[in-house]
Amino acid sequence: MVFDESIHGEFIDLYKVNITDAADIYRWRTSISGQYLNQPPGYTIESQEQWIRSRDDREMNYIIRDDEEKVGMISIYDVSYPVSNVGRLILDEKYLNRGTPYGLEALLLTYDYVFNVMDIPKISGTILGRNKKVFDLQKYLGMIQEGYLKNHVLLNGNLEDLYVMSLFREDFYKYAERINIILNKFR
Amino acid sequence: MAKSFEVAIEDINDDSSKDNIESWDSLHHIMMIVALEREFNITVPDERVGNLISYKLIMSEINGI
Repeated sequence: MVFDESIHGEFIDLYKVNITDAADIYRWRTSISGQYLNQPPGYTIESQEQWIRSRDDREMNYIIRDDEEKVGMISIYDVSYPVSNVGRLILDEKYLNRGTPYGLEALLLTYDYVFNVMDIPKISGTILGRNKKVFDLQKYLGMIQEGYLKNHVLLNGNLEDLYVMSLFREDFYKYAERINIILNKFR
Repeated sequence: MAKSFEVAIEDINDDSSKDNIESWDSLHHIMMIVALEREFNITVPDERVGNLISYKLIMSEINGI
């Protein structure tokens, strides 16, 4: 799979992650922003670098940038037609509650890229059972719940439930209209 | 509203709006719409989702449905 190494939006741009981003990703994942992400035992900047080096051609990890500032990260991964995953969204905590829709536009850009550029008709992903905010947000973006997995993942020593969520291309473009209404109000 | 915008309930009053609640961005606006729809068992029509940008407008929407 060949991905574009950058995607450009109104508020943000997405650029391919490289080794020099490891320290930033480590900082985000070990802050309050990373509370819903798994931290492997012995997680360090060096292991984050190793993780970046080990990525294969079935995924693309993007740094979210606002001009020159690194705001966060988002990924397209496990791409296998007709399904792709989008996730690993994390924002630097200093950019939370800033009023700029960094996370929302990162999701919209990657969803549009998967559906429109990669021509993949379905996006799937999982959300932690206790992460109600993201569950609500994704449903509002048009995702549907396809399953609920009890005690399915070990996260930082605790068994956690997962929602299995999917977004179909036709639903995304139908729901995108009202998201754009909201985005327009906040420009 | 307080929960959606992650502010103290005492910070919500008749004059509350996106102009004076710092965290009232597009993402939290969506959270608030979802919470309203769930709490009051309503559906906010797409053409009005962008209009609910103050306490008074929200109350008006709820009372008008």
